[in-house]
Amino acid sequence: MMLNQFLLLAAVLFCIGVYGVLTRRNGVLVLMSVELILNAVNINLVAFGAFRDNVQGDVFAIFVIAVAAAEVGVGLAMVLLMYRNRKSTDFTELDMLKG
Amino acid sequence: MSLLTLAVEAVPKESFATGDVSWLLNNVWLIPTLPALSFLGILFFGKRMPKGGAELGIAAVGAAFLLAILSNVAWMDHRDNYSGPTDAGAAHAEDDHGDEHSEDALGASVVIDGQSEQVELTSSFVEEGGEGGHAAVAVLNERDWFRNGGVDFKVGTLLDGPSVIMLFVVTTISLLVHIYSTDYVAGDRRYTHYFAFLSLFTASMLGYVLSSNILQMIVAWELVGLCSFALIGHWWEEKPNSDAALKAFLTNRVGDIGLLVGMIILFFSAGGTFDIVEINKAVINNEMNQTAVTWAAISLTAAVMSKSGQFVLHTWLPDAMAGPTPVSALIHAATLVVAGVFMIARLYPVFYYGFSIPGSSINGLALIGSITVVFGGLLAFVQTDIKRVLAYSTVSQLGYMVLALGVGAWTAAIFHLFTHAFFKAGLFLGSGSVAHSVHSFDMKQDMGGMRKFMPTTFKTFMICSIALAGVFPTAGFWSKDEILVGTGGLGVGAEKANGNYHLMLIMGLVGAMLTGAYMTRCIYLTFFGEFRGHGTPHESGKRITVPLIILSVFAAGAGLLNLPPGFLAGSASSPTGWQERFGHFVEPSAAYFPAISHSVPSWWLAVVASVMGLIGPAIAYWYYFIKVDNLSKETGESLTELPNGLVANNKLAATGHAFLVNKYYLDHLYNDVIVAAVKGPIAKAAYWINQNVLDEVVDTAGRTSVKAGEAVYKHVDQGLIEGAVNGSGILSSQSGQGLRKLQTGKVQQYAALLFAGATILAGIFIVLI
Amino acid sequence: MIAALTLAQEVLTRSEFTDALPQNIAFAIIAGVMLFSAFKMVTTGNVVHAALYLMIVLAASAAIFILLGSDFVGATQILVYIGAIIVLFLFGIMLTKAQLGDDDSVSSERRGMGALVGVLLFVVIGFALVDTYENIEVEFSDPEPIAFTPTTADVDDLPTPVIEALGLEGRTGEVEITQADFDSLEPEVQRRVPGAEVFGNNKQIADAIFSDYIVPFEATSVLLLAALIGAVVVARKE
Repeated sequence: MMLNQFLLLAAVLFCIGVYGVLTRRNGVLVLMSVELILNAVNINLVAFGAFRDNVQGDVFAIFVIAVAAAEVGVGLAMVLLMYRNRKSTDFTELDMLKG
Repeated sequence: MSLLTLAVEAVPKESFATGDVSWLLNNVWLIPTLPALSFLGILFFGKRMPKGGAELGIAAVGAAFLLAILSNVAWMDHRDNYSGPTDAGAAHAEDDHGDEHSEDALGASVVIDGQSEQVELTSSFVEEGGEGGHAAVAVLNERDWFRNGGVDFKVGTLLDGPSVIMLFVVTTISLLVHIYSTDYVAGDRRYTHYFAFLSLFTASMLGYVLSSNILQMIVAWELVGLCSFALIGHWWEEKPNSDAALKAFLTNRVGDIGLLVGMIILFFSAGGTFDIVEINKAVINNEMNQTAVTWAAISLTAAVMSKSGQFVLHTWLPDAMAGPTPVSALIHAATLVVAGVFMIARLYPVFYYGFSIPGSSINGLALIGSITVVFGGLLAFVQTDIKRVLAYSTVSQLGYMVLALGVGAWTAAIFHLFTHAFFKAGLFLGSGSVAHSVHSFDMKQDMGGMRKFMPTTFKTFMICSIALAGVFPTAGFWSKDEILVGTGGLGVGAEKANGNYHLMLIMGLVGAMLTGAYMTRCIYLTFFGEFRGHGTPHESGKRITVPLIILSVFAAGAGLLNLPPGFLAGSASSPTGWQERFGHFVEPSAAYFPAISHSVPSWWLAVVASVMGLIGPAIAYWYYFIKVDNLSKETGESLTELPNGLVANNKLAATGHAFLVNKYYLDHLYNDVIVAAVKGPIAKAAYWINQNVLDEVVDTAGRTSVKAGEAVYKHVDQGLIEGAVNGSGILSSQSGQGLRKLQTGKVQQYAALLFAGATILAGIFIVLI
Repeated sequence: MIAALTLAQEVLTRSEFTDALPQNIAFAIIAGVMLFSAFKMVTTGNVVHAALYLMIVLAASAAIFILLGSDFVGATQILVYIGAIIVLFLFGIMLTKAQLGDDDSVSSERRGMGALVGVLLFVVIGFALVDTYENIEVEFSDPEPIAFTPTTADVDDLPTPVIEALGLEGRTGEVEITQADFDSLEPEVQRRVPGAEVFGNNKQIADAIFSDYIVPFEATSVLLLAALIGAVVVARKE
């Protein structure tokens, strides 16, 4: 199998994830799109690990999964807090940083 | 084998050190550990102790001091008599351990029951380059700290000449400062906190000088910075003090970026090792990319500039005088600021080859040093705060050390570091003693005539000043002279010098002149004339004067440790047994140290330097002790300047009146001189003209140097650098106003811009590379 | 249509494809399902459906991991992501009372912006990948590593291929089999030696995590603890 078929698959997944992050309004869906991005990275790591014939790729993929779990926990807590304060999880309403 | 083995908790069961290396040299880690433990002890139990924790700090530092002395003795014995296994054997031992690592990585059984290999100890000796036929000199003890991704992170001690002498310097100064502080900060509300941080500071500095790898150096370096922050801001309730602490911390952060970048470059270009010996060897054996070495040296120089207060990044150092005076003595004169100098000395091959020191006539390091020497000296002229005079003097003296390292005079630099530590600590503690009794640091308003009230402080201050000015035969004379000879400029000692640094020699001589001059001014303003403050000052107590006396003894006598060959006995080419002892014991002559050559002492340079060093004080003496003093007596005021506008800073109440009077007086004087010359007989006329010309020259020289110092302070220090800082602030605020319209506040739009920008950048990189 | 078929024929007859035909067919199916689900996930208006599509994407990427020979990562992916994180997302959807129907109308302007960035990104990454890794194949060498502990064994108990390979014909009683002996054997013979143990790359991963990467591992545990505390602090009611 070609290395590139995995890498290009990951690239497409990554770009779909980016599209999701940029367009979805619901906070939970934005977080899900971030998971897509992280998964694309994991596919890259494992593919390179298989290509280089060592386990470092796998090891880092596992670390990424663990970090992603932490990220989802904190991210959802923040979305929850936002919902509690504003009764909405719509990211387009977040414009408090307006200068 | 345990992968997380802390150095302090394990005493080696079995030492690989065979032969006659003394136990102490293999266990020098005890020395920094003692104050580190005392830090914890004081922090947790200090408040409950009868003396607020001070006794624990003094005991720990005292014990460390004794161990440091013993290790110095052991080191001398080791240096002269060692005949043990050579480096080859040590390398073999290390190889064995390397094998164990690889096996550990594969076989899980060893990892699981790690008891048998709990302690990993590597002890090795680094072979010597030849001199005297000693087999090995440096004692290296290392063990694994942790391993990650195939890189070993070790912790250990590298004991050789420079570290052993630094152990002595740091513990000596620290012990004296501890004793001094029990009186000086008595009754302070954060007395316990103060002693805790003194201990931590001592511990981190000792750990720094013993570091066997650059990672450890970085950790200790940052700890030292943290302690300086805590101690400078000791009285943080007052805004200027906390500002000064912040300034010191932030300025040092700027340099720390250079430190990190430099260390990372070294790590990678030396083939993935943090080990100082390995890195140095790699540089010497030309195994590293020359460009990488140069960039590493430049980056590390930035770190040295911030930590050792070299010009441009020196501004934090005088402000840092906001801390308690003993802290200034400990941190800003003798130990902390020399961390940068010590780093150059430690990683000397990097700088030696990175800046192409041998055989050239100018390089970045030497240039920075020589500029700092002169600028620091000029700035010291115009300060009214006694500690600020000393702070700028420190800047100037650190410039000497960097200059010496920049011209290849390694031993001279370390020797100057050694002697400077004593006399500068003596001066700082002396100024603290004065300030303690008049409750002010302002020489012009609150001091004057102190010699009558504080004879001991006066005498020690005088001795230390003479040493600082480099007058024969005090310590400063020998070390400064060695630096000047080491420049190899203008044909002095050039046959065996590392290069021909003409400019550095001239700047060094000018610096020597300035040093004597500003110290004379400082002494006049503090100790002579009439007392200008309030109340009746009195001599400080024993706990303050005894450290002063000890330090002044060192200041006077430390130079005798490194007499040049040919002085009293021997000749330039063949030193007898008691000459150049310092260089013999301190300078590593090992495979990890470049083969620097040593300049031949030059008698006429010593004479010229002494004369130059006396001209400065002579001018200042004439100005202050004769003109100002006479004027003071005449007017009945205790003047600090000739109030004709040389330094328009006189705040005395009668200034206006005196100004007029003196203006007249000066005119009168000049008229008298001229008229007398015209009137007198020819012989007398010649004499008077002579006097007049001399007078003019001297007057102009004094006036110029004061003006120059003032200008540098006002325009360069306060104007240019502050202006640049403010300018960048204004610029960013205005561009911020412009960019404000882009701030829609919509997070996803930001994200889109971020991604688009990153994509475009990545595209550019891909296309270009 | 004909052009597409010609392209497909060309692809299907290329040696890279035919060499590992079953794997490539599996890859094509997995990739198709994965990309379709991912696309539906970011475009569907129904939040719960989006979560389910995400589950399919994650399962597909677990399948990719297994295809690449990383069983352990695939299993972790299923356990952690599908088992825990999806549930967490569903809880998040419920707790924020997002409407279960169409709630998420995406304006065309924002969609255009997102699509532009996404396509631009893909062009750059794709160009770089094709430029750099063209014609590089993934080789699966030794998918089942064999561990060995030196041991002694009675010659009579040894299988014949082992006796022949080690030249032990005619000997009796106990013999010692060393690591060097073991290394000299063919893989097929190796797994028949007493003391040999066949395993996947799990052992290697475990070795790597608990020796070389022990510090990141410990740091991860601290990170998880911090995230736990952080999530509780952020989300709790005042």
